[in-house]
Amino acid sequence: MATSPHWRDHLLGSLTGQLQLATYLAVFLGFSGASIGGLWLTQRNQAISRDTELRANARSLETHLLADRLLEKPATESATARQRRKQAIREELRWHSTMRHTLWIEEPDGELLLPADARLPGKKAVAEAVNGSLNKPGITQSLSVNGLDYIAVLNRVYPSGQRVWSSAEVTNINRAQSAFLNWMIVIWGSCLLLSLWIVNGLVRRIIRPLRQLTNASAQLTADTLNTSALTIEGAPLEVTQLANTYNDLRARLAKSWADQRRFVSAVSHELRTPLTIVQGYLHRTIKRGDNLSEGQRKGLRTAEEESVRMRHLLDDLLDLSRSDSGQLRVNSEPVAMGIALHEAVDLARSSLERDVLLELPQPSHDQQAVVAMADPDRLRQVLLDLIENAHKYSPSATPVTVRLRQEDAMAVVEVEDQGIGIPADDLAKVFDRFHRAANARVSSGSGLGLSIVQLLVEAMGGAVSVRSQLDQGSTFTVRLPLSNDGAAVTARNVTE
Amino acid sequence: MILYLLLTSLLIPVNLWAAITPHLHNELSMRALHAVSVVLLLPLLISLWSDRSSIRSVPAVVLAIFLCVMVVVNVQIAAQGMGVEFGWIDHLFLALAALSVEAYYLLEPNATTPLPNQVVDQTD
Repeated sequence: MATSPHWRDHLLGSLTGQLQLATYLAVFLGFSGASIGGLWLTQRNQAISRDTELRANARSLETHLLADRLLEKPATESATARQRRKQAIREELRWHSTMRHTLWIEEPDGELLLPADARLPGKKAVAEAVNGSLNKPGITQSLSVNGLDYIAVLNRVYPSGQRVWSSAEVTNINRAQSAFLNWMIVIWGSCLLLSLWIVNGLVRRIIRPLRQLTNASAQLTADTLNTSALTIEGAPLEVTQLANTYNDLRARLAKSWADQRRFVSAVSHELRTPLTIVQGYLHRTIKRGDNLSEGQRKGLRTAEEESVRMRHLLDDLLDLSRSDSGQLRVNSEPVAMGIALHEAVDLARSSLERDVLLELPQPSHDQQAVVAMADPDRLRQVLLDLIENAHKYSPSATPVTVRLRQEDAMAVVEVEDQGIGIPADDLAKVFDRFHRAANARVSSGSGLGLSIVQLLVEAMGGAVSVRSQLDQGSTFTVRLPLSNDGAAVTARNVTE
Repeated sequence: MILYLLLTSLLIPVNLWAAITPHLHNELSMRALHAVSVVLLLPLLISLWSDRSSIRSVPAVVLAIFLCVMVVVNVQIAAQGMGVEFGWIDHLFLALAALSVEAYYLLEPNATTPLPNQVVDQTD
């Protein structure tokens, strides 16, 4: 059920994500802090204002009641005097009460003395709702009576046991505050979204030069070292400095790469000639040496094989060097693929101790032989390299199959083995220089063969690809463009 | 997942507003707020359970107990409606719980998300 947190990489693992998160936090904290603080201050000020108003009314009432000695309960009081006192209190309450504010006295026996005005509706209900709920003076409580909102406070408890209460109806104030809260949420949300949108755009704009730098770095190859100078306009100073550093680094790399190519080319050239002479002498000595012992002959053959291998390696390095410097010359002429494959397979059979099977399309009257545009020598080199590669990574008892077919406007050659296969992770890099698959245990080989194959096939206008399954084998497919005048060439090649 | 974190972050100020203005929101909005808060706390509880072997146990247990209490209390409040005494304190704790969701997923390196892949991809 749990998933790996890709979002975390996006949010916390990238500069864009971190900037977006940081700006969101800043905007969020700013908006939230301002709104919460503003709301709290508004609520507090309104509460203080209402309490002050309630208490001011109550103090005014108490002043008058005390002046008239109505808050003093005589030790003995007749029923008539009590009624007169209560009526006087009610009259005083009426003078201090309004439609919104109500004052009342709670007698020691629990009787409520309300303002003597029948035009003040609902006051009794409020007083009865509050009555007995609070015993501590000075604490404001909110309540709802008959759908209206009130606040009430017990102002003072007198030694006579009388309690002075005041209340205010705050329904409209609450509605206004509620509307204020709703509007605040809408404005808060809108401003937050707008800020996020703007911030997102700004972050992308800030990051854009870095993305350009990343893309330029990703596209950098040995071939483009000299031409891929990065120019960023309107970038911040830090990014411009980074781009300049990148360009300096690229220039140094280009110089280093050019020096290395010149070195490899020169060394290959210098070594090739003496090596060819050595190989020739070895060959001649083996052939004409009548007095050689079997051990000496075997040693000379090993030396000859190694010199041949060294020459192939030097040839490969020279090809790569020429290709890098744009000096690789590959001819393009019609080649009868069947004959070319026959020759290559015969050569492979003579040098390798393995079955090499050749499968050619069945000739028919209405179908001409497959003729492709290629360089015959380079094509042979490609085929031998692929067969040798298949031989290296296959068990000795299994054959290597070379297959020819025609597909659309292409001649397709497949070299299939039943070897160890190539891991999926290595498939994309199998044509890279010096790359060796993780499961390649054979120590021989320079890691250049397949890159030379790709180089030559592409130079001939074709393409090479591979499909493979571990422990099942690999199939390398070479596609070359068909020749338009294939029939004539076929006839000429056959005659030769 | 980022959308989930964004929604949860919004619960922090909303609950603080509700704590400041206990008598201004109506019954429906109050129930909705408590219900949404509970729903958004559940993924963290699931994550705490699934990550129990890779996170520090004591803070995780304390957080899990706190979240369980919050879920139970707020399910009850959402069902019962307004009129809960000291409801504003509950809103403060809800804001704290939402903050703990953000802190866990952003600061705990071993945190995994219980949301399906599609949701993760869409929000990402």
